[in-house]
Amino acid sequence: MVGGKSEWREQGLPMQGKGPFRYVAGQVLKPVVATCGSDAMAGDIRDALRSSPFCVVVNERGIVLGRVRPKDLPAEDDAPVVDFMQLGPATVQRREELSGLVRRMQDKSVTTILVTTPKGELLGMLDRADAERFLAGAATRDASKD
Amino acid sequence: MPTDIGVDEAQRLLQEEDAVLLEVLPRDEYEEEHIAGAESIPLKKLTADAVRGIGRDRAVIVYCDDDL
Repeated sequence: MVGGKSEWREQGLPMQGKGPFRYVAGQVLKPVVATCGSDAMAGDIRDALRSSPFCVVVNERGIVLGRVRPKDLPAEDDAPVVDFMQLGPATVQRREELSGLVRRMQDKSVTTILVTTPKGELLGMLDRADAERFLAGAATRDASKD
Repeated sequence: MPTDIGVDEAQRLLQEEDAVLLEVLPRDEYEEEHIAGAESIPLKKLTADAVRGIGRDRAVIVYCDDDL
C-alpha cells in the first residue's frame, strides 16, 4: 500500500498498539467552511464571513493563495479579493507532529492553521482547541496502557 | 501479481473483499503502533510458510511506514 502506515495515520484512520503513538495534524483535521476564488469581491466574502471566522482564497486547482478575516475587509463591496487578502498564510501538512505544532501555536497565540498537501492544495484546517483536547485524551489513553 | 494501491483502495478491499492487512516492519514497531486490524510478519520472516494460512482467494495488502 503506497503511503503505508504514515498516510493511514495522517488521514485520521484507526490505529492500534501499545504506544507511544505518533499524533499528527491530519488526525484532527476539520473542513474549511468558507472558500472563494481569486476573482471574488469583498461583498461575496462579507456574506461568507457571517458563518466562518475566515475565508480561504484558492485557485482553480484548490491551491491556497490567501486568507481573509473580517478585519481585512474593505468598506467597498466591489473591491477584488486579491487587493486585500492576507497573502500566503501559514500552513502545515497532515503529517506535521501534533504536540510540537500545538506548542508553537500557543506560543504565537494562533488559534487555527490551514492544512494543505505538499503542493499547497487545501485539505482543511486545524483548530488549536480541538488539538489540545485530542492530545489530552490521547495522554489519558496512553497512560492507561502502562 | 503485486499492485500499488492507495489508502482508499485498501479501505475498499478491507471492507468489501475481506482482504488481509499485513505490516512488514520489525515486530517492535508493529507492537508500538499499527493500522487497526493488521497482522504482523516482519519482512525478514516473510516466507511461503509464514503466509500459508492466508487463503489464496484473499487479497493481501502489505505496508510499511511510508510506502512499499
